[in-house]
Amino acid sequence: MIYVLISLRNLKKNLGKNALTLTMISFGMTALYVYTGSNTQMFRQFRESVIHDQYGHFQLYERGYTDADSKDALAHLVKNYSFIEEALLQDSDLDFLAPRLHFSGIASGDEKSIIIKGFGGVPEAEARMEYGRVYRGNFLESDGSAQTVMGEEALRKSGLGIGGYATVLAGMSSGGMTAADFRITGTRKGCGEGDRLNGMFMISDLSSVQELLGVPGSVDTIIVHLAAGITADDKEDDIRIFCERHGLEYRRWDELALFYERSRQVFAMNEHILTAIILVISVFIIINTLYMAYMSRMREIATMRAIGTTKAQIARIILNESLILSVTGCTFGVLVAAVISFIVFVTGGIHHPPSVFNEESYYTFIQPEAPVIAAYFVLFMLVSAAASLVIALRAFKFSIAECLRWI
Amino acid sequence: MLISLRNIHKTYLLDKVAIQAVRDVCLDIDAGDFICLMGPSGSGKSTILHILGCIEHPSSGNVFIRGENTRTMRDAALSRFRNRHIGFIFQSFNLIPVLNVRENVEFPLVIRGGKFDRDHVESVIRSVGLSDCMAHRPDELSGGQRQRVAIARALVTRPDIILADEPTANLDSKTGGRIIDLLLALNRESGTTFIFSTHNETLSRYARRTIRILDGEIYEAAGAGR
Repeated sequence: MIYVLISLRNLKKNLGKNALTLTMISFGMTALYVYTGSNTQMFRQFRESVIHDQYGHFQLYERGYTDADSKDALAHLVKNYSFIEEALLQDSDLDFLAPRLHFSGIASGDEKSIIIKGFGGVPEAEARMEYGRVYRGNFLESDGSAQTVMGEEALRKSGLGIGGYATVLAGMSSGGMTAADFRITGTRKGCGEGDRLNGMFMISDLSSVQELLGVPGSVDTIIVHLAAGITADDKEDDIRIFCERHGLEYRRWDELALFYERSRQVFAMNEHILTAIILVISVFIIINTLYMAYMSRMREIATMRAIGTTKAQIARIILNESLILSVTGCTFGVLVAAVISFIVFVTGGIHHPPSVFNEESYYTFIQPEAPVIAAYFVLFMLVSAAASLVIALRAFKFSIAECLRWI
Repeated sequence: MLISLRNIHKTYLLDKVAIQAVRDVCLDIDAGDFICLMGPSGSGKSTILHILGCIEHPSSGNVFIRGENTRTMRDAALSRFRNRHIGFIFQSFNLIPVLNVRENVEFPLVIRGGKFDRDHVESVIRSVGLSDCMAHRPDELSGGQRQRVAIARALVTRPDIILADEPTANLDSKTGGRIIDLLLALNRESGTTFIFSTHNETLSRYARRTIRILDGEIYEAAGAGR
């Protein structure tokens, strides 16, 4: 207790000198809190957008589909989709399914033809994902007729217009060619893989595409959306067992959305660099401040040593001062950051422009995860401990008698 | 024999010049003695006190205290040895400025670890006449009072030896005389060995033995031969 008492009183006595260290640690902690907090929120929203708008939590395929090249894709279809759908939807942890059948070919208007890549989907399911958002016109209607929503750029290149018909020529699984007319109900911007593909994008209703390709009742991809509060980790075992039982294979959303993990890694790297810079600056400031304080207290240290205080006990006093500084600085930094977070919250959040996957801008708040902040506390304490060790080693270089002669 | 110095030499390096502070000092001190180290500034009396107090090792020679050769002790063991057997009184009092009188006096017992007798601490503070100032910080005390706190701190562990480096140098002559009287009284009551250094001839008269030092050598030891 006496060591803590000495440390506290010395810190209070040298408050002016210690204010710089406290301010530095506080600013460092505030910066880390705000940066981490906004990144965490941004990636949480990004992840939810990737899952709910694009990939679902899981995608199921006929076994061998993911290894097959595009020419053989039609040989790996889930032929009994309605049976699979019925079996899957018995699980209350599933929200909805979005079956898809991909195709490619040529879409022709009156004068021009363009290469197209697209898929057929169930309009109600797709309407709940990103492809349900149209730029012009309307989304697909569930009236059983052959319809399509084209990329805005694809529509422009083909010379067609909304309400017109696109004749689609595609390859069949049997190797022959097939064609059908699709009524254009609307257009969209972006297509999930960058604007480059907007010039060949087409989404149509599933039954019409099945009919076009001559594979009624078949799909190549089943996108599984889990109910609110259920994560991919929670459900992966059940999905794996289901796939094994029905001759299917699956991919998790994070295996498909590699860009998400890459983006996260870039931001995490930035966070590590920022943390390292702040900690290095902190360690130098702590060493400098405490070292100057201890140099002016060498006679006091020497007196303590003369009356029997061991080096370990002196190191403990220095460590206490250093830890009190870092914990106080971190706590103050978190409080300042909490105030900033509150201001961001009441002012409606930080505005972000639309990402490549979304057409709408969005807002994030500053909400770091508690274990991350706890880890920063621990890091600052470790840095302080290292700083106090450096000071102790420097202080012990002088002999007791040498320090007493400085009187 | 409580203390025995054998052929002590101490050499410092000042820049690249070797300064011989102590030359071939041999000294035996009995328990309960009251000794004055007398000599001008720079004569080496502080260095001899530091060597006696185990806060500085001699360049050569051996120091035996209670029969133990302190040169062979490791740092932690030497710290514990100082804490148990040696008390220090410094010229500038050297109190811990952030602790009050009571905390300063009990500090040597606190660092020892374990429980200690608080009544004993209070009785030591009373014995130096500071019972009204227990909660005062050093900067709230006069020079004489500070030195009394330093004396109480040195006494509180009931050490075998108390070393005082010019204990009255920063005090007026009246207060200095009272401090020496106090040390003499404590020496008589507790039988603790006192060794103090001074260059004041008047103070040396209080001592039972006066050891005169010049240029690092003992040249006269009144009351006992070298």
